[in-house]
This record gives sequence, structure tokens and C-alpha cells, in this order.
Amino acid sequence: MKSIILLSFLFLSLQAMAANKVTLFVNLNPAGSFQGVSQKLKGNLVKNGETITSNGNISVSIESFKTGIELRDEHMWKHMNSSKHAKATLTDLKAQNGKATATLEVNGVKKPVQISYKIANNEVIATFTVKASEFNLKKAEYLGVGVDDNIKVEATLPLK
Amino acid sequence: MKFILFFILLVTSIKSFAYPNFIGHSYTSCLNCHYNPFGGGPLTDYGRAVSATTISSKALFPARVDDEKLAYMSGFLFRKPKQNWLRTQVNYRGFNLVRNPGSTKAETKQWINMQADARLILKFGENDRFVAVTNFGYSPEPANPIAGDKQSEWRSREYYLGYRITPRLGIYAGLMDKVYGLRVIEHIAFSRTTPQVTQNDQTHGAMVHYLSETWETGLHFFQGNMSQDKDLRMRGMSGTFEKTVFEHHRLGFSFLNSKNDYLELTSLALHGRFNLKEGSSLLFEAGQTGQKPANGEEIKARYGLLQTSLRPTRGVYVLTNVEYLKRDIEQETYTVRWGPALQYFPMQRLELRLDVYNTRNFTPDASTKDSWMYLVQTHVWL
Repeated sequence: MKSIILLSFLFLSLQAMAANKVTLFVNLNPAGSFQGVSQKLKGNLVKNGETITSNGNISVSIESFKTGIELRDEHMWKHMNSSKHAKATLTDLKAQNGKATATLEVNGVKKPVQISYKIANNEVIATFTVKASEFNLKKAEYLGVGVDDNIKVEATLPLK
Repeated sequence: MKFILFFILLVTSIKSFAYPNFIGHSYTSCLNCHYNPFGGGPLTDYGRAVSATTISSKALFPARVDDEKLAYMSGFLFRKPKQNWLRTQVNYRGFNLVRNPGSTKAETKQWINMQADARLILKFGENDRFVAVTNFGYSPEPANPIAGDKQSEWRSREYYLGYRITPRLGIYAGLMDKVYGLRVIEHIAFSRTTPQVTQNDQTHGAMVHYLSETWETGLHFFQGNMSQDKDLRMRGMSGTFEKTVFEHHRLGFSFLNSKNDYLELTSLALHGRFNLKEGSSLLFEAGQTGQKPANGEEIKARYGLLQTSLRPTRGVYVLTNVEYLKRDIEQETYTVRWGPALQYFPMQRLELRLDVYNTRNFTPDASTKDSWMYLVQTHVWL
């Protein structure tokens, strides 16, 4: 019994420590929203004084995003053209004092992004907003319910 | 203290499900899946597809039938609609109600055809800006009808016109459910019967609905059900407000004031809907209702509802309802009703459900026996 309790605590602790995570906050039209979550964000962030740099690219597999509904997962991957462009990648990261700039590549299109971030428990939690249409992603719509063009992104990575 | 511990244990061990609980699938608003922005009534095409691909199991279909095909088949009579302006739906709900099960003297069994109706939806414009919704069919007479209020068993319980001025703002007029609280599917719930917003309490009126990114509200002005005698019609207004909190959850409040020649009814409630992820959720509503007869003192009642839901696998929901009712807050007597339930959607268009209810009245001077009942419900829609 004790071992089960211990295992449960361990499992919960590991869940809480899941740092390599990206969440897409997607608003629907006419109403509602959903989140696409990936726990497979790859990349290394290094702190050097007040600045943070990336040791290599930061990337995430499009097909690692889950929305809670299987069909919606498939629609999202297809919409983001995952068969041709399997990853979203962040390069040229320059970060200092809670503000950062980088280049985001989605669907083979590169665009600069402005990022806000904070550091907590040796993790960097970064947020930024992108316009799906700027990455040549078509307007998403399914049976009368559409997706808002503005997508908020929250990414968490550990600091080395 | 023991009661509180028992209560906490109960609600954390088993969870229940009702249609507002689709917040467990990240749907904070009803508008994507229902033509009525506060839920209930006919489903939109999107709602039918969600039902087919998320709510219902696909275990009975061969492996080659994927979710895309199931969504494609979710239209009326398993067909994809050939035009955009007309939708038809047929809906049946019936159950076997067993009271005092196991008692040789008191057990009773009764099959009740709760609802059998056909629905027609006309919709036009961008994003179905204009809608006309109606239904007609069989509904049993209320178990305790108001004296002199004989209604036909064949009738329409809903017809209205809707116009979305913008995607965020809509106006609706016709015979509709009152905007108030959580529209849980259990029509005997104290949270529905006490403020008189249950299955036969539709009213003629006009409703305004507004949806922002983080909150949603509705105001409903009504003149009573015109099929009733004029002196019985409850005229007044109601409203609800919900705010999204922590991205996934909703907190809200509702009010209602209505009056006829014999009674004034005032009701206030707080409610919450919490997304526990993966289709699971938790709902609560707590309210107070005052009933003031034309020639008498107001009697205030308090009610509470806690519903939790657990979705162990697609198509299956394990439920628990806990309800509280104090019919007169000046008195010490109160009622607690609770029970587990199992809801199973073996395939799209079919819902099977088992509800068990235990009811106990608590009085300071007497002890009463618990009463038990269960119902086995079938819900089919085409």
C-alpha cells in the first residue's frame, strides 16, 4: 500500500515537472475555444547573465499536439500541413529582461515573433501571439465552426 | 463534519455527466453545438459531428469506419445534408421507472415515453445568421399539473426565430426555455423544479444573448406560455451571466422574477462548470427561490446541485448527482437526494442510461425511511 502511495506521489511529481511543453490557445467562431498541447518541445536554453540564448533550434512536432478530441487532432495536423512540414521551429532567439525576439517557422514560412517571458523554478515560460494566416495557413472551418486567426502560444522549457 | 467528509468522498470518488458537462470537452459555450445559445433542443451540424466522433463510442463500427466517416454520417438518417438551409431531426426518449425496487409491497414499475418529437430547422445567411427552429411531438402531461391547466400531450415545446446581429450578439423570440442556471438533463433536479425552469416551463418571450471571449450573458423577457389561461401565465424576466476562469472553467449567476395572478416567484443562483479534462467535468448550482402567493407570506426555499462526471473511455460516462432542497428556510426539514448513474453512448444517435436515486428527508423530530428508485433510459435521435 505504501509503495502505491509513493508511486502515486512520484507520478504526480513527474507530471508537475513536465516542462517541455507548448500550448496553443485556439479561439473558435462563433463561440468557445480549445487548447492544443504538446509535451514534446525540444531545445536547450542557456542563461548567460541577463541574457538567454538557445543552444541549437527549438522545435516541436506538429503531430505531437493533442486537443482532447482525436478528430480535431487530425484536422489540426492536416490544417498545419504536417505531412509536408512536420515541425514548427524557433530560431535566432535573443532574450533579455523578459522580452525576446526570434524567427518562427510553421508550414515552411518564416516570420519574426515578439516574445514575453518569465523565469520560474528554473524554467522559462514564454508567451507570444501569431496570426495563422501569416504562415499561409488557410482559414480553418468545420461544419459551420471556424477558428480565429490569432493563436496565443505558451511554451515552457527548462533552463540549463 | 461526518456528513461533509462523506459528501467530499462521494463527489471525488464518482463523477457524473449532463449536457452542460460538455465543458469537459473544452466547450465552454453551448452555441457551437446547439441553435439555442443556452443549450437544449436541436443540435447544429457541428454538434451532431461532435456527438458522433467524441461523445459516442465507435466500438460497434468496423475499424475501416474512421471518425471522419462517422462525422460524415452524423446528419439526418446517416446522410450528409445536400443543402444548407434545412435540417430535420427526430428524437425519442423513454424510460422504465422503478420505485422502491425490491419491496414486495411497494415496488412499482412504469414505462414513460418522455419525449417523441420531430424537429425542423431553417437557417440562412453567413454562419447561419437567421434560424427558425420548431419541434412538435408527444410529451406526457406533467405528473402534478396545475389545476385548470390541461395541456395536450401532442404539442410543440419549442419554436423560435433567431438572428445573430453579429457573431457575438444574437436576438431570439418565440417559445423557449427560460434563461436561468444550468440546463442539466435531469428534469426532476431540484435546481430545475424549484425555480420552475424544467421540462414543461417554456415561455413565450424574447431573449438577447451576448458572447465575448471571456464571458457570456443572456437576458430573457417573457409573457408566459400562451397556451395557458391568461391568469396562469408567469410573466417576467430572467438572466444569466457566465465568466470563463482559468481558461477552462465557467462561473456564473442567474436571476429570475416572474408573476401571475396567484404567485410571484423570485430566484437567484450561483453556478459553476469545471473542466476536469478528457471529457470529465464537475458542475454545481446553489440557489434560493421565493414564492409569494397573492394573499400570503413569501416562502423561501434553498437548493443545491453537485454533479460530477468521469469519462473512463469514449462513449462511457460515470455519474453522481448530489442534491439538496430546503423547501422552507424557516423550517429545519430538508431533503437530500443522491445517486450514481451510468451513461453509455454505444454508437452515434443512441444513449442508454441507468440512474439510481436515493432520497432522504431529514426532520428534527422524526426519522423517515430512505426512498429508492432507478430508471433505465433510452434516447434515440435520427
